[in-house]
Amino acid sequence: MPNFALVFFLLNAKQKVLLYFKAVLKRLPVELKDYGVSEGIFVLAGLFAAWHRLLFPWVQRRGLWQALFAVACPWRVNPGVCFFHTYVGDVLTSMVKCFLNLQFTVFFVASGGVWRSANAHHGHSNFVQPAWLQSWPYDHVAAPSVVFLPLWFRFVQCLMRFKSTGDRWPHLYNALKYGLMMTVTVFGALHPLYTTLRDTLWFQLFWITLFVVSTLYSAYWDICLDWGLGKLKYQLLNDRQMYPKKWYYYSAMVGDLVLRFVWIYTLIPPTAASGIIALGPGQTPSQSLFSKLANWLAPIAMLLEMVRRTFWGLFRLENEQLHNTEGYRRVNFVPLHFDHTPERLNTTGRSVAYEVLGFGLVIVASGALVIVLSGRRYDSMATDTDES
Amino acid sequence: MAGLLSVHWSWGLQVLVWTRFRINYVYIFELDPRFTRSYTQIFSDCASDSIVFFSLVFMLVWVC
Repeated sequence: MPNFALVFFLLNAKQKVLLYFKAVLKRLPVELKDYGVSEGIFVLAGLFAAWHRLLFPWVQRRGLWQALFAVACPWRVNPGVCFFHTYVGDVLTSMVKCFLNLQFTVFFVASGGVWRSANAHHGHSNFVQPAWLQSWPYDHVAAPSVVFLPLWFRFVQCLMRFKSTGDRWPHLYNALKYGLMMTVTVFGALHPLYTTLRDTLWFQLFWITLFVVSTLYSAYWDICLDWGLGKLKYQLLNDRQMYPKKWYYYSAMVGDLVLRFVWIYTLIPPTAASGIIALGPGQTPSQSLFSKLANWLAPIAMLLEMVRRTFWGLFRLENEQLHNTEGYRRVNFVPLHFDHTPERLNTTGRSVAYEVLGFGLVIVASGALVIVLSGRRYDSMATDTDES
Repeated sequence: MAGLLSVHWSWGLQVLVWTRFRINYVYIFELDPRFTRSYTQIFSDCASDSIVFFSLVFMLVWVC
């Protein structure tokens, strides 16, 4: 094993893939399985690849880590909160589901569950919920804090901006936005949901009202403040546009409103998510249809949120270029961006788009195929074990 | 990990659109122009990461 790890470390990504295909062809993992090392190696390799990408080459990644540090403790950074830091903070709030999954993986590896599941079932993947998943430190500390912290960072950034500029508008109202979101998530995460039916009903009414208010407020903030759109004088747009078509703006406004609701849903920790729409006090989350639906929706919601954040960023930067919205820069003028080292491909824009779309479809189709096939395989395994 | 991957793709896509519509993201973000990378470079990294990720998933499901 140490030799294997060393070789793995020295290879680059494409060589790793080749090595893996060779390993599969020679059925190396099957031999490894006899030593009790099978599934864990893939999880570890994935974590390693992510770690490698996030740290190397260090000269390029250093900026990212400095920005993350500045987001986490803005009072330690000298010129105060700058636009990039707020942007990174906003992206972090979108990545909550992703962080939850990563945290789960790290806990899973650190607790040794990776190896145990491989040993216990000889490759059968009937996933037994590990004990730490329901334990107090994970359920009440680690998972909620991952959900809570990105919002908290943005909240603190808004207060810092207020302190340095002295303007109540928009910084305190922005802080209020994040405060509302934090309330929604904390209530959703920590409320004991299975007490009595009446309490739960009142709580649900209260919570859903808060949910809707907070979501509408953030959507309003996105459209009117972050993007500078929604001005009646200019047919719900702003005075100038940099993107060529007007319907881009209108569809972005509608899409933002819809996807905001999906996003707030992703903020709720997985342990509580199934209980929010609970059917009654007698039913455990695993029985309700909603929890199954929630399991399916979680990755889709994560992707949708990234889509929303992507086009949010596109319009946010456009507005920032045109208007210097919150006074992050002393000079209003921003020079247009021209590539000094143009890397022009010979294809036109549309054909490239089709190509990328085609590749994306192939990837999604193969992913779906894998999921469907694996499900069928596990089903057959389950029936096999039942029969035996 | 799929989440990290999608964030990386999303950053590449944003850089592509900003570059094409002349939005000076380097200036607005106050990035160091020596270390900013063009969208083709970012997409290249994303692509190799995706290959690694999907082959890992593939093998996790099929081999184990």
